[in-house]
Amino acid sequence: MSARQAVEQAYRDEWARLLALLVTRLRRFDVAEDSLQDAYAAAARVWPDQGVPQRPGAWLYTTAYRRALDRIRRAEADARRLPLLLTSPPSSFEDDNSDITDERLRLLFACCHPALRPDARAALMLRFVAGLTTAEIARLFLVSEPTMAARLTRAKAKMAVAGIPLRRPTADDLPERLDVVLAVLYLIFTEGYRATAGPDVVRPRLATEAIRLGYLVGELLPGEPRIVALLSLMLLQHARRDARVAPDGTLVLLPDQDRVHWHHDEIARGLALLDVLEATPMPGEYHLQALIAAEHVRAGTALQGPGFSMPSGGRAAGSSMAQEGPGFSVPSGGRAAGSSMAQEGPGFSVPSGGRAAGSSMAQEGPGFSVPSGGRAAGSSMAQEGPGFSVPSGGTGVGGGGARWPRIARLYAELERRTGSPVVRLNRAVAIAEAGSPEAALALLDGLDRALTGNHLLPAVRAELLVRLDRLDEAEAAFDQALALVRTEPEHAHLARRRAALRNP
Amino acid sequence: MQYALLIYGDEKAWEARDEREKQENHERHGRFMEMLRARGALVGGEELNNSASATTVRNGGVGVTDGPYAETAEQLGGFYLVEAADLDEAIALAKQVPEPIVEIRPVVAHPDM
Repeated sequence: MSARQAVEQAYRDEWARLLALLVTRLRRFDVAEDSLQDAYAAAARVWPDQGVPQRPGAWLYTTAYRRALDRIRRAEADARRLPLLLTSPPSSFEDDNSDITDERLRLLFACCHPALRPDARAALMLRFVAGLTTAEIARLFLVSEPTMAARLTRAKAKMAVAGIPLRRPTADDLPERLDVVLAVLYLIFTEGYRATAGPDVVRPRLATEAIRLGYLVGELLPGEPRIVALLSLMLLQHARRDARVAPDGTLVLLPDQDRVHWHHDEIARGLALLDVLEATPMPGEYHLQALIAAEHVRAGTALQGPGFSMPSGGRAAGSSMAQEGPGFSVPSGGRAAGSSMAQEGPGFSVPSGGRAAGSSMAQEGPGFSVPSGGRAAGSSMAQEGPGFSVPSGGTGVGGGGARWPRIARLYAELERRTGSPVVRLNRAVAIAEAGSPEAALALLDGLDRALTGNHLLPAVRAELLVRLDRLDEAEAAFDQALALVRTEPEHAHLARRRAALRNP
Repeated sequence: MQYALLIYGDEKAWEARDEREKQENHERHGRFMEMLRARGALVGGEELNNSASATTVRNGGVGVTDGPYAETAEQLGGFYLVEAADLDEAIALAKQVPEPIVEIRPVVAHPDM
């Protein structure tokens, strides 16, 4: 390994824990950060000539600590009013992880302090716990580097001036503080799937970072069921990332996704984590969401039978399990055939027109299904805010096999917990899929005020009205949704659906 | 560190309280201050008269005007000045203030003054 590679590897392996050590020992974020940067720069200069030290981490730590002391002394000499606080020689650098676990936990809770703004918490987590550079974080959040740098600087200043402590929360505070940590992780995760105007429809790297952080938090706080639940949820949603984007960069709706591109190993991991939680008496919100995601994924994976051809399904047939298989193709469906959501599978091909016409609840279209968490339209996330987002496993996934009544029950429980109107919307979709569009429509009553300006509500209402054959009202609802929708793919989808009303 | 715990609330609701409620509130604050004293955390604190009694001075601007700085439903009604190790400790104290809204502001130390 060359010296340059050694520096790079040390950056990957050691940066985050060295920073945690320095921050907690120096109690100064900015100084710790700059000094560690200096130490890596010094390594890049010195190691090629003098050779890679036996313990690169210890070398970097000692170098950074000395630089930090110099910086602090210089700053204090400039200020000429505070005594030297740090005169001790560098504390010893231990290679074992016993201490560092605690130091990283302290840093983690400081970055996720409730006194910080949610976007600042997410940025701080990525910078100080995940170890991303400011430039990387800026790219991930689609803001300019100076903007992100300013956001981080403000957050660090708030931490220092307000006296946000670097210590583990007390046992009393822990549940509440852990909620914030989990909300931050999930915010980072969902940010990666938010439909935006950016060049990339999805930014899986953010989701990957969130999952990595989730594992880290799980290691730091073992045996905490909420972390396990959140990890399971993220894994189950993220496992479908590669099937979500077409080669031209556009989103692929769930029914059109090729399950060959699902990461089945990750799905297996997500399901295994859920099994760990099986005995949990009162499932939490993330747990409920993970159970819903699991329903969709299980439906999607269990159904790949040998080529099976199905009668063009009416609504009734829609929920039978059998409708998929390799090579299966959806007959261009009329509205009636719509709910055969079976339209997924390897080798699946959709005749042109079939999707639009045949589409129904099942087809997770941007604008229709109330996705979140994960997919396409994600706009619900954006409106929900941290800690509230309501991912679903995808209203459309393999609806043929999904156990909709169970999904509807899970949503009902989730709604009871969160009171979220978006959850209720998801629940309505599940109830419609379970065969009761009238009941679903009734559930939408009273949501107008909570979801004012959100195109998803009229879009869902339109689809329900289509199922009830109330086409004039459906048309009006589509018009409402079209007036509100903000992203181009969603607009196109809704326009297609509206046009299909009269020309099935 | 020193923190100011600023107490905000709806003045109309404060003024609508009857004598018994006022007395009870007074006693709750008394107990809170006892607790602060026992911990050595009490630096100071006062109740403020209502915002109708406020006068705002805008130096260099429109000068002296009647009323509080911000015309909002919630007004500053009083404050405590407390000693706390860090924000978490200040939050723990603020949670024990017998009032609905408490803003925590770190006090700037001016050693030279």
